[in-house]
Amino acid sequence: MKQRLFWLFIIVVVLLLQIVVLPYFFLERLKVDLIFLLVIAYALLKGSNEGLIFGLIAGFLCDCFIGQPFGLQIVLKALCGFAAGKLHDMYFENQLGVPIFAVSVLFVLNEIVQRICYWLFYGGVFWPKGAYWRGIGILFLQQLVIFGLLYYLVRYLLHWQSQGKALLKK
Amino acid sequence: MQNQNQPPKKDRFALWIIVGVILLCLMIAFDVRTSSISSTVQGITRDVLAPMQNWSTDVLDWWRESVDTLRSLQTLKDQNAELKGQNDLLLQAYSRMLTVEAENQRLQQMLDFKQSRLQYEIEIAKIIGWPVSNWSSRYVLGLGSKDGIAKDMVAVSTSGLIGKIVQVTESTAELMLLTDELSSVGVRIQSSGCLGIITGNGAQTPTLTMSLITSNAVVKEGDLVVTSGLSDIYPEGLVIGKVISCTKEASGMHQTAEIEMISDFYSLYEVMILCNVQTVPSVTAGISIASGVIQ
Repeated sequence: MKQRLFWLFIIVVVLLLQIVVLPYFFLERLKVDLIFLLVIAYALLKGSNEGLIFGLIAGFLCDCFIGQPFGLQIVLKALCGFAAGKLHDMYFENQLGVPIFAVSVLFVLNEIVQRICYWLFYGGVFWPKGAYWRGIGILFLQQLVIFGLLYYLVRYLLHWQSQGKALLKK
Repeated sequence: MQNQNQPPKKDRFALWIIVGVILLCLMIAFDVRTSSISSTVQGITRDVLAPMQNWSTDVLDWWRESVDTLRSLQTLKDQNAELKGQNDLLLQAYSRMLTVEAENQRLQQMLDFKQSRLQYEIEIAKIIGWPVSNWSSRYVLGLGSKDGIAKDMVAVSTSGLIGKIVQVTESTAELMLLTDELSSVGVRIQSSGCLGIITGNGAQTPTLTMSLITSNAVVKEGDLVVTSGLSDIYPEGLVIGKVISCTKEASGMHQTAEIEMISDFYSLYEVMILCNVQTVPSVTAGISIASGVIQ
């Protein structure tokens, strides 16, 4: 229970960073989605079921703050967590190849699915031109760098938790 | 021992997932139509988070200003020398300015007369929350109903119209930008006076679409687009953007123009909210809608 609360606290902190602090450094059209990266990092290290639940909670908190329609972020983040978690057994934790592959593919899919959803629900231009395409490459690289840091941070926190658990057992 | 009639744990988990997905889809569909779930849940969350967000933005503002001050110190010396030279030129300009000021006063009186139909106060609101998704065009502002902010109030920047308030809690307000797919504003082209409706194309499309322009209206590239005032929400004459291109619709009855926005929504830290906007639709305005042209 304590562990779950700890991760809930982490999600809230990252969400606040995402909606309040991050825009000051990324005052552009496109912003890095820290919650998305956190869900993927956690799911890769913990597996699909844990990733799904983590994604559900993270998506719910995102939807609780801002964004329409309510529930879209829940579905997307849960699916990302589930999909990333499926890769859990396919690599060693200290190898970054699979995580980078996962975040790259899921980033593209996440953007496409979100756009299609917004277009289906609210209309507008199906796919933007100009500024979006100029920014998307830089955003992708930023995501990769931040994901690398976040992945190691999540891994460190999970190890720290498991060590604490082991000490308590002793 | 596991009951024979009960499905295995894995199947039960899959069943829960399927039920969950169906429920979520229903919830999304309901919220797309009514926005009631999002407004209720988000209202509560925002009121809880608002003090924390206000505090964070204050700290960030302080930090940004401190960095700016430190940066400016390096250039202050050079600027001082430059300013001394400019001071002499300004003295000459000052005498010319006195003449212009008198002219300006006369023009201002005329402008005041023209805008006497509009009366509003301005509240400056800080942006305290940005959307998580890159596809959303909504910001959270640090002022709410207790500060006198209400739904449908208009938000502007120094360059022009930005959007309107769509949801208000006690201490926050949700601003829907013009780029939002659900945004639509009655506008006219300043030079020719022809009317139309501007709609957003999504957060990542920097242009707006002006539709329902009468087929005989003359629309040129670079024409300024302003609010028509034929609405209970938007006052007349707020600048929105410039015409980039104009095409005739297939039916031949209307034209559609692509509009480039004047305001840069993505470099905003604060917005101005127009309170107590009172627009008085006149009889002539009603005739203008029918004819499509304001005389």
